[in-house]
Amino acid sequence: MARLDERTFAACYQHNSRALWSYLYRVTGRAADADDIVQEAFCRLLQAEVGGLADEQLRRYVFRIGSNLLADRWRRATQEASWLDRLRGTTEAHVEPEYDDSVSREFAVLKPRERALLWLAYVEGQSHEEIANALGLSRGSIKVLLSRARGRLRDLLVAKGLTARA
Amino acid sequence: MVEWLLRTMSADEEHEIAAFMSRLATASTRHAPRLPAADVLLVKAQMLERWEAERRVEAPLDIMEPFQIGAGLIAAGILLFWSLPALLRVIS
Repeated sequence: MARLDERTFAACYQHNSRALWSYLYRVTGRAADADDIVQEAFCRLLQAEVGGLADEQLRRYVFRIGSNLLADRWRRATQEASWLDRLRGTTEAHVEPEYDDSVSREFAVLKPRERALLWLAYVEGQSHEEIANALGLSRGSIKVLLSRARGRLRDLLVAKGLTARA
Repeated sequence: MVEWLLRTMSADEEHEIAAFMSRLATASTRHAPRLPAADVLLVKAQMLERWEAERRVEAPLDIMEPFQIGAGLIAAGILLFWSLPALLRVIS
C-alpha cells in the first residue's frame, strides 16, 4: 500500500481536522493540546502506508492515531507528575479543563477515558471494535466501560436537573 | 459476571444521553482550533521525516561516543604512565 498523495491528504485534512480537534478538545479540555495532537496525527498519517483506504477508513485511522497520541501524553504527564510529587513530597494540583458553557462543564466532570468513549460512540458513531482499536482497549471491556460512562453521565444530568426523569 | 456493571437503560434514557452528546458536539467553544493549512503540514511532515532519517543514521555515532571518549582517556593514561620515568628524568 502506498502513502497518501497530496490531493487526497488535503481533502482528508479538510474533512477531518476540525472533527478530530473537537474530539481531542472535549477529551483533554485544552485547546493547545488539541492543536498539537491534531498536527502530529496528520503528520503521522502522511508517513503511514494508507494510500488505498476509503475516506471513512482514513477518518477512523486518524482518530486512532489521535487517541494513541493522547494516551502517550497522559502516560508522560502521569510519570512527570509522579516524579514531581516525589521531589516535592506533595500532590500536584489537578489542572482544570478550559470549558466554558454548562453542557461542556457537565461533560468535563467525567474521567478523560469516559469522555473519549462517549464521544467516539455517540458523536463519531464508532462500533465497539473501532473504539477498542482507537483507545487500545480490549473489545470485551468496551461494553462495560461504555455502560459505566453512560451511567455516570446520566447520574450527572439527573443531579443537575438537565433531564426530565430522575 | 459483569452483568451487574451493565446498567439497563431505557430507550428514553438512551435518547437523553444521545441528545446531550449531540448538543455537546454542536456547542460553540471558547477556543477556536489553530491549525495550519494542509500544505504547511505536508512540509512539516517531510522535515520531520528527514530529521528522523538523519537521527537514525547518526544513532550509532551517538551510541559510540562515550566509548570513544573512554578509550581516549585510557590511551592518554597509558601514554602518561609509560612516559612518566622519561619525563621525571628530563625534569630532574
